[in-house]
Amino acid sequence: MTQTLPPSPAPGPTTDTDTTLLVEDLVVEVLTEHGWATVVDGVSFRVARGETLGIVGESGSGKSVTCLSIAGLMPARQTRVRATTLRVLDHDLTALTPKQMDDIRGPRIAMIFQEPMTSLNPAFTVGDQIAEVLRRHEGLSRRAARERAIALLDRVGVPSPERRYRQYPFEFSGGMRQRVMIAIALACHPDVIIADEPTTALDVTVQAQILELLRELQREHGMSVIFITHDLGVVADVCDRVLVMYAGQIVEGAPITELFEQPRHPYMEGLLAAMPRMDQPAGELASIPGHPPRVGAMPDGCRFHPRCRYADDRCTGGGSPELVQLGPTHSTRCLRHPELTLRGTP
Amino acid sequence: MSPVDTDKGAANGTAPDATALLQVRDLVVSFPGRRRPFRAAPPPLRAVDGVSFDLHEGETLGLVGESGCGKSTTARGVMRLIEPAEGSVRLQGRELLGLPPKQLRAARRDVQMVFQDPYSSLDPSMLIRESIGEPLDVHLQLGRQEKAERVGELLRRVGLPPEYMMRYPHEFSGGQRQRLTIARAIAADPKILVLDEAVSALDVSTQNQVIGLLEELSAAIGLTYLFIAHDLSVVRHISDRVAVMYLGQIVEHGDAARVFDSPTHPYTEALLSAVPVPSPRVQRSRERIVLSGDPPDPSRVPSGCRFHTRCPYVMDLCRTEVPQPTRAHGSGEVACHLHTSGPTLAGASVRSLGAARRQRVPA
Ligand SMILES: Nc1ncnc2c1ncn2[C@@H]1O[C@H](COP(=O)(O)OP(=O)(O)OP(=O)(O)O)[C@@H](O)[C@H]1O
Ligand SMILES: Nc1ncnc2c1ncn2[C@@H]1O[C@H](COP(=O)(O)OP(=O)(O)OP(=O)(O)O)[C@@H](O)[C@H]1O
Ligand code: SF4
Ligand code: SF4
Ligand SMILES: [Mg+2]
Ligand SMILES: [Mg+2]
Repeated sequence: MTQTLPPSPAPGPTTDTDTTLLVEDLVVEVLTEHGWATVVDGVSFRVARGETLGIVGESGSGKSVTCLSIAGLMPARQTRVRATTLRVLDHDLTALTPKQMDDIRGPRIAMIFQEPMTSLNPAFTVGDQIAEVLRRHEGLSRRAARERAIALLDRVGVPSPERRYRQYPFEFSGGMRQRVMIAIALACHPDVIIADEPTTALDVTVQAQILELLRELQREHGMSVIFITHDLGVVADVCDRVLVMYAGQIVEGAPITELFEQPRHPYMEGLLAAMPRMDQPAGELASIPGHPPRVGAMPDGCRFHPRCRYADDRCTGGGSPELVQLGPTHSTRCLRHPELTLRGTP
Repeated sequence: MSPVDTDKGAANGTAPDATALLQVRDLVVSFPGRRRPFRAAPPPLRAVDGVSFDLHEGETLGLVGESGCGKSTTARGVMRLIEPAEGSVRLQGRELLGLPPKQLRAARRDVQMVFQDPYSSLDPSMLIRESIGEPLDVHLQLGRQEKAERVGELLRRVGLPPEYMMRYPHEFSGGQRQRLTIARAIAADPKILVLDEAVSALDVSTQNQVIGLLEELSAAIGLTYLFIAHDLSVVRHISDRVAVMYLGQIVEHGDAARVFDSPTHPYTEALLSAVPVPSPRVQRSRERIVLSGDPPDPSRVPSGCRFHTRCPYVMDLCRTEVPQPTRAHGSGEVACHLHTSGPTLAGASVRSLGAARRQRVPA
C-alpha cells in the first residue's frame, strides 16, 4: 500500500530501568594465520525494553562479531568468547550449553541478516520454514503452525500469503525474502531482535517499506532491537540510542539526537562530515584519512590516533583510553574530550 | 522519452543537438525472453526501452533508479558492449551504431567505462604497469620507456606513487584498486568516462576520496562523466544534471538541484522521500512516502504509464495512455499526466500537490 506517514515522535532520553539485554566486558578473539587476535575488546552495553539500539562503524570494526557472539553464532573452533555478563532478561547466556543456547535463540534472541537468501533453505518452501520454527519452539501442531505461519506472512506484508506459503525462496524478491526473515524472527515473540544490515542489499523504496514494518512491529510487540548498519541515514531514521564502534571497541555512545548534534568523539565527527547529503547542495566532502587498523596490529594509545586530526602527544602512547561517562547517557573514549568542540549535523 | 537536455534543447526531443558530446536517441536494448517448456517463445525483454539523453562536454550526468531499471544496460548499449536493437548513439556527431568493428574500436577510445568491482577489471596475474599500459598499447603504440613514463604519470594523476606500477592488484586496498582502474580508464585520453556504480562498494571515507579524485580530473583534464549509481546522496553531490529511470525509461531529468528540490514525477518524489537523511531532527520531521509492492517485472510492463501500479496519484487516464514528455519548471522534462490533466501541474513540483492528494494503491 502507498502510505504517507506522519513524522515519527522525537527521540527522547531512554531509561535503563527495564533492561532486556545486558552485556558486560565482551571480548572476542578469532584464530588468524598469526594466532589468536582480539576483534572485539571489552564491549559493554544494555538495551531497554522497546528500545532500538544502533551500532555503527566502518567495515571490520566488530559490529557483526559482537552480535553474533551474543547470539552464540560465532564458529566455535576458531573463536574464543568471554564476558563478565551476557544476560537476556534473567537468562545468563554465559552458563548455557550450545543445546540450551539453541533453545534461547528464537524465543529470546532472533537475528535478521543482510542476505536472506543465505539464511533461508532453498530446498524447502517458505511456509514450511516458518512453520518448522513454530513447531520446534512453541510446540504447535502441524495445522496450527501452518495457520500461524500464514498469519505471520500476512502481518509482514507478503501479498496472498496462502499461495506464497507454498513457494520456494527463489520465487521471492529480495524485499519479500527479507519480510520472510522478519516473519521467522517474529515467530516466537523474541525479547531481542538483532538486525545486521537488514536493508543494505535492498533498494531504497523497499528499504523504506522494511524500516516502516520493523517500526510498526516494535510498537506492537515492544521488543528490543539492535540495529547494525553503516548508513547514518538509516540510524537517524530508526534508532533511539547509538553505539559507535572503532577497531573492536565502543568509542562513543549516546542518544540519537545528541550523538548527531553534539558528537564527543572525533571519529563520529569524521563519519558525519563524510556523509554526502541528498537534501543539501553539493559542498566539500570530508573524508577520514587512512584506514582502520588491521586486526592484530592495533596502534598504541588511542586506536584512532593515526587518523585523528586532533591527536597530540597524550594520544599516541600507552594503553587505549578508557570509555568515560559524560553524563547519564553519553560516553566517549576520547582523551581530549573536555577541550574539544566537535561539529555535528544540524 | 526525449533527450535529457539543458534548456537550450528543443522540447520535442529528436532535434539533433550540435553541442552535445554524446547524443543518445530512442535507445532500445533487449534480451531474449525467458523460455518456458510448451509455451510459445516469449517476446524479448526490453530492458532499455526508448532512452534519450545528451551529454555535454565537461558535465556530469547522474543516472539513477532502482535495481533492474536498466542503468547498466543503457551504458552497455551506448558502448555497444551489448548491441542495441534500435536507436542512435552519436559521439561528436558520428553515429556509433552500425559502425564496423575496426572503426568502433577507435571510437571507443574516447569513451571508457569503470565498473563497481575493481577486482574484475584488473587482471590479477598482471603487473599494474601492464594493466594500466594495456590501453596505451592498443591505442597509442608507445615505446617501452615512454610507456613506463606515461604509466607513472597516470599513477601520480590518481594520487598513487609511480613505484606502484611494479606491484600486483592484490597488494592494494579497495579504494586504491578503484584509483588504479580509473588510471587505466583515462590512459588513452578518453573524453567520456562511464562510471557504473564505481564508488558503491567503497566505505564512505574511501568513496569520498574517489569522488574527490573524479572531481579533480574533470577540472584538470575536462573529463565528462555519465555517473550511474543507486545512491542518491552521492549522485546529488557529483552531478550537474540528473536523469531518473524507471523500468527501462527515463521518467524525469533536469539540473540536479531542480530534480532534487522540485521533483516533477511522482516516482522521483517517492524515491527521494525514501532516502534517509543523516540528521535525526530532519529525518524524523520529513514526510515519507512508502510505495506499495516491488518494482514490476520488466517482462510484464504495465500498460499506460509504467508507474501506474505503484503511483499514489494515479488517475484513470494513466492506466491506458502513455504520458508524453513535457517541460519541467526550471529545467529538463517529465513524462507524467499530472502535468497536462487532473491538477495540470504544467511542470511544477509534484510536492505542491501535498499528501491530501495521495491515495492508497492496493498492492
Ligand atoms: N570467523 C572469523 N574468523 C576470523 N576473523 C573474523 C571472523 N569474523 C570476523 N572476523 C574479523 O573480525 C573483525 C570484525 O569483523 P566484523 O564482521 O564484526 O566487522 P563489521 O563491523 O561487522 O564489518 P562490516 O561492516 O564489513 O560488516 C574483522 O577484522 C574481521 O575480518
Ligand atoms: N544479460 C542479460 N540477460 C537477460 N536479462 C538481462 C541481462 N542483463 C540485464 N538483464 C535484465 O535487464 C534489466 C535491466 O538490468 P540492468 O542491469 O541494466 O539494471 P540496473 O539498473 O543496472 O540495475 P542495478 O542497479 O541492479 O545494477 C533487468 O531486468 C535485468 O534482469
Ligand atoms: S584520544 Fe586523541 S587521538 Fe584519540 S580521538 Fe581523542 S584526540 Fe583523537
Ligand atoms: S502518469 Fe499517472 S500513474 Fe504515471 S506517474 Fe503520472 S500520475 Fe502517476
Ligand atoms: Mg558486519
Ligand atoms: Mg547496474
